[in-house]
Amino acid sequence: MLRPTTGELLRAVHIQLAGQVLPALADGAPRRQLKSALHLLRRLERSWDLQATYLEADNLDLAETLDRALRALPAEAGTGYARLRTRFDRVRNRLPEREIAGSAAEAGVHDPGLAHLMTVNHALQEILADLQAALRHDRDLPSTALSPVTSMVSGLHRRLVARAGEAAGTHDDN
Amino acid sequence: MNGSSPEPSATGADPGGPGAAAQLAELLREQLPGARDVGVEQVEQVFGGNARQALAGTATWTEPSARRRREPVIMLSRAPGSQVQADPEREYAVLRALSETSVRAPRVFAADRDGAVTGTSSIVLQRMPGRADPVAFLRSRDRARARELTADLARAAAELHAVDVHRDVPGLTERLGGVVSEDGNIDPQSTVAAQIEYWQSVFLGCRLEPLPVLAGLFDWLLDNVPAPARVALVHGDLRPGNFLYEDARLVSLLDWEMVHVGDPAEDLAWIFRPLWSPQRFLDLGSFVRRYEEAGGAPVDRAALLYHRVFAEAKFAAISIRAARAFADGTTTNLRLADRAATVTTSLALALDLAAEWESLPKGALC
Repeated sequence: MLRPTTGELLRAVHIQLAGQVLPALADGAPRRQLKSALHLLRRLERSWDLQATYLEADNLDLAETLDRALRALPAEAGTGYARLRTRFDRVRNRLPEREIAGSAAEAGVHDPGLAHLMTVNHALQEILADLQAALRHDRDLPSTALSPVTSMVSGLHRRLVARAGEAAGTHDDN
Repeated sequence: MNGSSPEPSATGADPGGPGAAAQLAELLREQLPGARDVGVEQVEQVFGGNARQALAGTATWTEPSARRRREPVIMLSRAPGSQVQADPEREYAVLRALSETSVRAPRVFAADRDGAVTGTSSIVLQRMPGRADPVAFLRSRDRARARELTADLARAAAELHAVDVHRDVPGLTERLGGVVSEDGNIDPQSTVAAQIEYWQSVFLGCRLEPLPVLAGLFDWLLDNVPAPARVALVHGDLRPGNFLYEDARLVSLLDWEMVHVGDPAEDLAWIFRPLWSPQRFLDLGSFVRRYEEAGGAPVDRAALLYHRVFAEAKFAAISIRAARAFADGTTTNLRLADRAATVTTSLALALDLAAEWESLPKGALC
């Protein structure tokens, strides 16, 4: 059963609340609450079905860029990078199901596939943040090794933000 | 930079209820020096923004000289799950000090620092004339008048930044985030860095996921902290919506809960965030010229660009804190529910601005 879709339902609820309930409310806190809810419904209507595709693309990009960045670091670079590599390989290969189930339940996600994508995304974000911190504090890494990795991370940042904006339906807010 | 203040309940107090007027009167009775026959009438709940609840009324009292006083007042109380961590005692002390200066700020009458009277931290201010409506201002069709008001905002900012922190706000430098070096003077660069670190800590404490882009931006900010020639009293949330105006004149700056010592360029950058920028009336360059003509210290363009990056990172941190408050159930304000969705917009702009800063000739970075 496909129809009505979640998007159709969200649109219909928005129309009815905006047309029937909002005009009946005087200025004040209840009216402000409803206007905020209507704004949120519009954004959800624009973005409700984008999450899985977004996370697949995001995870692929994060994994590919982290792989290239970690490989680009010289073998003699600090042991911290080797630990990041181990964590990265573990996330890329397979995460334990219990980790996925736990975090998904907390985030209110029901679909196991989406829960897996979210958990992997969170773990990859964590590794990227830790790689950034390691690079920032590494005084021994020569600039010839640092520069290409920094460039990879900067490019990744732009792609992460652009994708997140499209998935949230806010990419043209500026 | 912020002290702790009592946390209001998630369901909120009842700021418009019958008990609120009595609380307001009690607070004034306790704190107006020598006041007798204190009363508050025409009490009504008014919109106080997302971070605070507001109760307006007219206070009457008899002074020790037997003179009868009648003042419109407004009591601002911290809203449950507020995205702004206010320190009413600090705000109270700053506004009291500013009443001796030409800064356009309301007089302050009382503060309930620990919520002993009102149940949550509150402050009672003079209710000034004018309107604060940012939408009416930003969508104004009378561009000439809006342009003049924007220029007056530049003058008001220059007046604020002319305040000598040590002389005019004595004893509050460190409480306001100023970092004092061994020689007793404020260290400008460390003071700016402390402000970045504060908002970084807000982000790290409230995030629901790692958000490496924002983490990287805060690191970038800390790696490139400017050293302003002087620090000043910075409003911290200076923008349309946080000042009262009548026609083309700015009457009073409002919402002082994020006031601190910092780089004046921080306020100018915040005013021009795209969400509320008066750009269509006066561009940033022209605004800065008006500011400097009004006595504001010369603005370093690289520092201004740096603070535009910071403004986006700070707004993102505030949004994350707001979204976290809703997720945790400490606020019921639906306007805060989806604030995390605005973060990507801030980050995209911050990355562009940081790249622009990186491309500046090195000589411009001073």
